[in-house]
Amino acid sequence: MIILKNIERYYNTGSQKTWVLKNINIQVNKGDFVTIMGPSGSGKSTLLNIIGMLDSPDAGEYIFNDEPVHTFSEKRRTELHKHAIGFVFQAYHLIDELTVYENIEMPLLYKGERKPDRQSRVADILDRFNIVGKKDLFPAQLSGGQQQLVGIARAIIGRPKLLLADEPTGNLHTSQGEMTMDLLRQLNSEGITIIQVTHNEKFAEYGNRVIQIEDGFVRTDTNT
Amino acid sequence: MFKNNLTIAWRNILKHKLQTGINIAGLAIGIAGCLVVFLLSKYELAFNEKVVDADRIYRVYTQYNGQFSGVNAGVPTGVATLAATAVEGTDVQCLVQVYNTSVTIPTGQGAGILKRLGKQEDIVLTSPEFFDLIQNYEWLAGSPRQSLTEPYQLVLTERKVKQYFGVKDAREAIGMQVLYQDSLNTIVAGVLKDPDFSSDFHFTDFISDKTIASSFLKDNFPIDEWSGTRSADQFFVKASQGVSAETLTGNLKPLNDRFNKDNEPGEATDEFLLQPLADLHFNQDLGIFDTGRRPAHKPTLYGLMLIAGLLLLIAAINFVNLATVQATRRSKETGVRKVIGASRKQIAGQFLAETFLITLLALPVALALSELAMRYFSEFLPDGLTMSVQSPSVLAFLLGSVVLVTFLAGLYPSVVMSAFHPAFAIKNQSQHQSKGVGLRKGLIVFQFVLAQAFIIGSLIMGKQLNFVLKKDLGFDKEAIVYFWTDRANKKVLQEQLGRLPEVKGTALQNKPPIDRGYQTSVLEFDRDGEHKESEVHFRMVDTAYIGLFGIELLAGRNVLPSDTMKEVIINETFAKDLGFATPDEAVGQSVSNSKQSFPIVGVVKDFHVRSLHNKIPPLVITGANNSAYSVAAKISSDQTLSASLEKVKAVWEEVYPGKDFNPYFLDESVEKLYESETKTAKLINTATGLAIFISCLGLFGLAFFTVTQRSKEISVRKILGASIAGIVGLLSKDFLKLVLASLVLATPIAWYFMDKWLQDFAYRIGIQWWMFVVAGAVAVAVAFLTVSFQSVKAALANPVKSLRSE
Repeated sequence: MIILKNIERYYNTGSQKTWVLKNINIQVNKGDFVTIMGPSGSGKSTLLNIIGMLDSPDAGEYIFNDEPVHTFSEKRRTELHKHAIGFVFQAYHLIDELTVYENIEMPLLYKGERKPDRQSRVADILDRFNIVGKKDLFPAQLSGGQQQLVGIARAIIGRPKLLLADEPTGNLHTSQGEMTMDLLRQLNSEGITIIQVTHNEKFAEYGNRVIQIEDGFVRTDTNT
Repeated sequence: MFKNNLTIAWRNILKHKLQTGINIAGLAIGIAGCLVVFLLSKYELAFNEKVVDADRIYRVYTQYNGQFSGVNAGVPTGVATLAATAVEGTDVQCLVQVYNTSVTIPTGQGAGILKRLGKQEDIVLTSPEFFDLIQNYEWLAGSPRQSLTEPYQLVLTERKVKQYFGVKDAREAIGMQVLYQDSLNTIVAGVLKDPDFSSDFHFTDFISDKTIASSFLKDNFPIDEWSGTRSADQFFVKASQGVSAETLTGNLKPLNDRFNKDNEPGEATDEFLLQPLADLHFNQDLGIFDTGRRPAHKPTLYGLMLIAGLLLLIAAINFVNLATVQATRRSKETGVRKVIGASRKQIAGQFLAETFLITLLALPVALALSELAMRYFSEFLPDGLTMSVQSPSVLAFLLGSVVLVTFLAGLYPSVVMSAFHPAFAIKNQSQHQSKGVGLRKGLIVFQFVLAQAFIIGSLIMGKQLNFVLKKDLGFDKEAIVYFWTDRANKKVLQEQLGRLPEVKGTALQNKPPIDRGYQTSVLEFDRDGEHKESEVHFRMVDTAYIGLFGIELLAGRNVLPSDTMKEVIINETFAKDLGFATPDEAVGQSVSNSKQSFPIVGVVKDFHVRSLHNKIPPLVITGANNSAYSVAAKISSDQTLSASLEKVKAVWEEVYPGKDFNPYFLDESVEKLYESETKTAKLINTATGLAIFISCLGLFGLAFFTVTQRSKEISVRKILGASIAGIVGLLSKDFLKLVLASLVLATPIAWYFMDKWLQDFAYRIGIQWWMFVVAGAVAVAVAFLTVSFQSVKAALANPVKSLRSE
């Protein structure tokens, strides 16, 4: 599904290059649940951004579903990520001014779905996540775990093939973190490919593969 | 999608009340200003537009060339007679003679009087061709050929019929009588519907021009005359289809030839020219008709448009500034939206929707403000100007301004924000922050350049107006009241007024010392074989004049009593012009016109004869009671003015029973000379206030957000020992620097425009450096107060709180 070949990302500091990612070669198959681990500043988030098409590599090739993403224009990349990728964030990043319902509905609006379709799909997902009663609340009225639930609901409502999670449990208590990870595992079993970044060894075990990154290099890549 | 945009926009608006309030207030003021100016411009520019064949209608006016060049909106009446046979290429020719006079309505039985109306305007003597010229009129009764061809026939508009006779159905008025000037007995032969088109033809009473020849009017309205030109006699033509203005002007040659027939060889030839109807409402030199209505001043209109546009621009700048400073706050939201799949267009659309909504909210406020403004500026605005929200053009304007403002104010912020790189934006690292700062500074400077230019402008205008009103004019203008009389009984009036204990003195005059109008003549002077001709202003007065007005005699003596001009007193300027080194030298010399020689018996100190726009001209004061039919009286200050005036009025009514009592006060007449400048000053003062207000609103908002953003820095500084004054200074310094920088830019701009404005005055104040210092000080003070409100609050806040919130 994803093939990264010799991906490089660097900044020019004066006449020198500072490498964030160097010589990254990774292949992710459909149905994988990959965990990326590594110390702060090792380049995990940059890698995730590149996979999520929010950032582009300075060199190397990125093949997504047989399409050479690194050659695409920004517009085409946006189109691709809009339809194929969902994002979950450490800080949830819900929009404060919108209700739970409206937050979840938003990706469908941007995709241009018709109103009846939007309504039934949002209703389905509210039902499935057991948050029907919270649909008219604003994010500030929810607990962290509930906010992350809404964040995940929003990420998958567009039926993405790939879900990217940047420390999804980082701001949560252990019990809420476990609930979140259970949910991700369940989604993975339903066929969504997941790549998560985490510091938590325990939560890393939810995946079937762990990639260790240090100083911009892939240190280890092990199946669990 | 759009609904979602509006929902989030609405919630944002409610959440950020300060920002919303600032934006709405500023935009409302800007839109209100634009709306009022739009209404005014539309009203003025629409004049004569709806007149049928407007593009073919011209007024023929007189152009004098040579030494005394000038224009007269009228023509000698001979032009109309000759043109009928000699000028080709016209469909209609029509002479319109304005006749402002009193109106009396008899009962119809004996000598009974039903109504006595004083002097009325909009009465004309004309022919049926007038209605071929202006075809917009609708007739309720009669027709041009039936109703305006016989002597003493009269056509009235519906409104006048109601005013004169009080009848319900205007057609009942046919056959009724109206007396003009007490004895011109006319019969209503036609009634017009009140005109529903906007034009300068406000005429309400049309008297058949055939009346002139068969009545006493022939003394005042010369027929087929070439020797005099009165602006009351105006000649209109409608060009035939396909005849250009150039061709038609060429066709006027027979008229020019006839007019210049008696010229001496080498003398400049005067000519008749065409003024298109479209220019009628705007030409200041020609004026419209001999009524109180003045032409609209196009440069003033354009100036107003500019000011209103600038106010709106300042408000839009606030919007942009506040939006960009908030961009950081909104960057997370924008990033999330992009990650979720929003395109640039969709993000931009959302911010535009917010701007749209705020502008929409500003509309009702703007409407209320423009109502207020129209009341406050009522003296500025023509009577016919009203605002109706329902009218399609107002709606279109409002819609247009909403769209324009939405894009003006919303486009830049939405473009900036939609360009955020999502991966960074989501972490609140706005990449455009530094760029935004530069722009913001530029915009603040722009706002304050305008505000300070306005401050300097109103300061200088105020000073100049104060100067012209307070300046010693060289004569005494206090407590002087004067009247225009008809020639009869002026001496009786003068005598009777003189007997009142409330009156300290009286004089006969053709004009008070200073006057808007003027009358000049050419006088010749010969000495040592040198011949000199001068255009000289005249005061034709009695012996009391000089004393009454306290005009100082420098040499010689006062004039002796006389009915006609026999000897003259000249002013210092004239004496110098004639080459006399001292006033005494002039006494005993004489000046002459083509018929007669006049000894100079005295020289007076210079006094102002016209407004301070004009230099003091050469002037002659001469004893000529016959030409002086204005009576001036100095009221004693022993009693209140109104009590004394009652007595004066009683005398007037005794001498002129049934005539309107119209006293003019000299000090008021002096103020009236500067009416338009006073109005301009009022306008500029208001614009100044608004510009400062809107700019400070923006500054206030910016200070608020800056302080919020820097709250952590402020706390750290406080913990490290910074004083409150130090922190206030730190936060205010940046803004004040910008205000000072804008003073540097505003100075030359204001200097240029005010210097130009002052050039109109022959006597003016100098522009001085302290004016700019004052303007800068005002701006700095206002800006400092605005900013310090926020910075003092921040400096006093408990530092622990803001640090904890991180």
